[in-house]
Amino acid sequence: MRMDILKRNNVKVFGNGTRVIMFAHGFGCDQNMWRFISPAFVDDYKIVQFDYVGCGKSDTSAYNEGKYGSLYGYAQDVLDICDVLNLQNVIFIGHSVSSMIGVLASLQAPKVFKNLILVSPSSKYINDTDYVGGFSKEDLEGLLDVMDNNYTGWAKFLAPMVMKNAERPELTEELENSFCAADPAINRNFARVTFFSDNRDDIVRVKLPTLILQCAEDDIAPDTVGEFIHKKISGSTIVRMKATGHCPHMSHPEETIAAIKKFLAEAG
Amino acid sequence: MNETSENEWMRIYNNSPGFNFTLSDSEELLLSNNNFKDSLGFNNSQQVKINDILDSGSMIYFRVHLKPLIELQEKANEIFLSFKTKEGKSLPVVLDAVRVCENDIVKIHFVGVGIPNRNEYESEIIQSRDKALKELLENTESVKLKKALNASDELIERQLQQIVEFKEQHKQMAKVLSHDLQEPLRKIGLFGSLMQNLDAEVKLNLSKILKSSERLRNLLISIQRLHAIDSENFKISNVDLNFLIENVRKKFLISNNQMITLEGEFFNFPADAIYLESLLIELVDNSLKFQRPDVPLKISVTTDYFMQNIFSETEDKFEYGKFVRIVYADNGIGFDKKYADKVFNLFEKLHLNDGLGIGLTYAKRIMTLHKGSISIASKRNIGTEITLLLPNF
Repeated sequence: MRMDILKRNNVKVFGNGTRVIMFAHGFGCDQNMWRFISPAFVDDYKIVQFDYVGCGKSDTSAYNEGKYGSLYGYAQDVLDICDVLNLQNVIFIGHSVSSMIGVLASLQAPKVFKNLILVSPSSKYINDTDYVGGFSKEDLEGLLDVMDNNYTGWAKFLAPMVMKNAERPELTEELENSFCAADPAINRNFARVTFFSDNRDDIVRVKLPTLILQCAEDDIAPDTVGEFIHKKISGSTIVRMKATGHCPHMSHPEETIAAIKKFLAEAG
Repeated sequence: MNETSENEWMRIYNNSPGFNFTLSDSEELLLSNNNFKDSLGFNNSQQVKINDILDSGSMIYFRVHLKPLIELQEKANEIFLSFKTKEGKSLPVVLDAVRVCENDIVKIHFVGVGIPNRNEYESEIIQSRDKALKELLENTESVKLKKALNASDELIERQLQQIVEFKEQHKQMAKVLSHDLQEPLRKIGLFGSLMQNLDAEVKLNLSKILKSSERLRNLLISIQRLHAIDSENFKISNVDLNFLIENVRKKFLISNNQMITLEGEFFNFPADAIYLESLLIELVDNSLKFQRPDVPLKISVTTDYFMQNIFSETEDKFEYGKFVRIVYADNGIGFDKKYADKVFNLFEKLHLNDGLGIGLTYAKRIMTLHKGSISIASKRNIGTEITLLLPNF
């Protein structure tokens, strides 16, 4: 069981501290995206990184459409990892969709976590009455189309999923842009689950000390969404960063590290 | 090769077929060739950013996938993006990108070709593939379901037979517990107490026999109670936890409202009110019995809810449902972690003197009837925490 979970999510544990930081990557990438951030914490923390099933070097054979047809399935995997590694008081740092996965995991097992740090979070991507998520449904259908067109590792893409045994493993390696998306079909489902989810009722129930990192000019998770989440999570802290875009941990690592360290120092 | 002047290079760049453009790190368009400008309908005097010229789906893709990819790998190949033309149409393009850093300034160079025709064919292929895949999956799924259904039918038949048998046994056992076993005990007690005029030693032994028979009677009564928990008198209704706790306070004559506190997200949910109340009575009874002598007893009950897979026993089946969580915590003497699994066993007693060791077995039986669960965590001299999960779907 233990080995299964660690292999399933390609879990890496390192660092010299005892306090635990868990880094969870966002949609469209894998744990590599934390490589500019985690070195700043190795001396003082035990660091846990992993890939969601279907991303990076995870075990794609563990993919189950029923399970991962909802963010709850991804949250369960986060809890499984905490459980097999016997982690407690975890500082959970999640980017993008992982922010909400962390929220769900913390609602399911509040005692496992100490803090939530939400990097570029969104509680819902699609606009709604009295809510500006930033996108229309059509915009996001457009994203799925672009993804379809991008996995032109055609042979693999066209092979029906049910014929997995006949798959030629070498094709995976040919997919040059697959560092993030080990499996295009899975990644497409992940996109759907991510961008069509609505976690507005979940964030109001978060009770952990929470930090929100809001980038400037983030057209995936705009200011209004960050403000909304800040207002809904009582006692949360929001840092409006100079960093622009959606991935401050990659584009502006120093500012990101400083904001996280400041919050952790104040949270105690 | 002849010397080529800078102007000449510029002209070649500008007139080259396909699309050439360069982005700054902050995604402004620094440079582009004529074909690109003409196709998308802008000119040199305009400040253009990448999000002005990509269609929205491609913009999201650029943001969440392509940009991180280029930052990590410093290049990307055969990337598909769709641009907005001046006529408001989509222009599908396949691109290669390379990220360079010159004098500390980051630039991303792109080169691409438009593929409007190829894209149309590809879209058709993708659609056909999706359709074929959907049908294939549906077919596979229905074959799988049919197999599973057959297996379930057989299982249900076997279980039905067992249930009939269990029911009969259950009925007989109820009679044995309420009558057959009680009657001899009653007689032992009766005749034993008649034998008063005996010598001292026999009298002492007799009193021990009577004490044992009394204990046996109490065990029997509690087994009978445990046995009586069954689905036939189980009724789900919307309960009010505030009300149940108030009843429990009354039952134990607890006048101090601070001794048992109730907090949480909601207090009304479906359960069997009578069983849930008697479960709470068992828990409070334990807390009262196992107080720390020098510490006033405090019991806190908190509630919340969360979503998780409702299939805990069936492998590879997933459906997410809402669970109500009731956490009952006291500040009593607690017990050692290693006993945590044993405490739900019948007549398992961790403390020698008090109780029969049936309370938690009873609680567990009630939770099972609710299709819920109970778990326990305890620390010696700190207290015990019992978590109840009730399905709410």
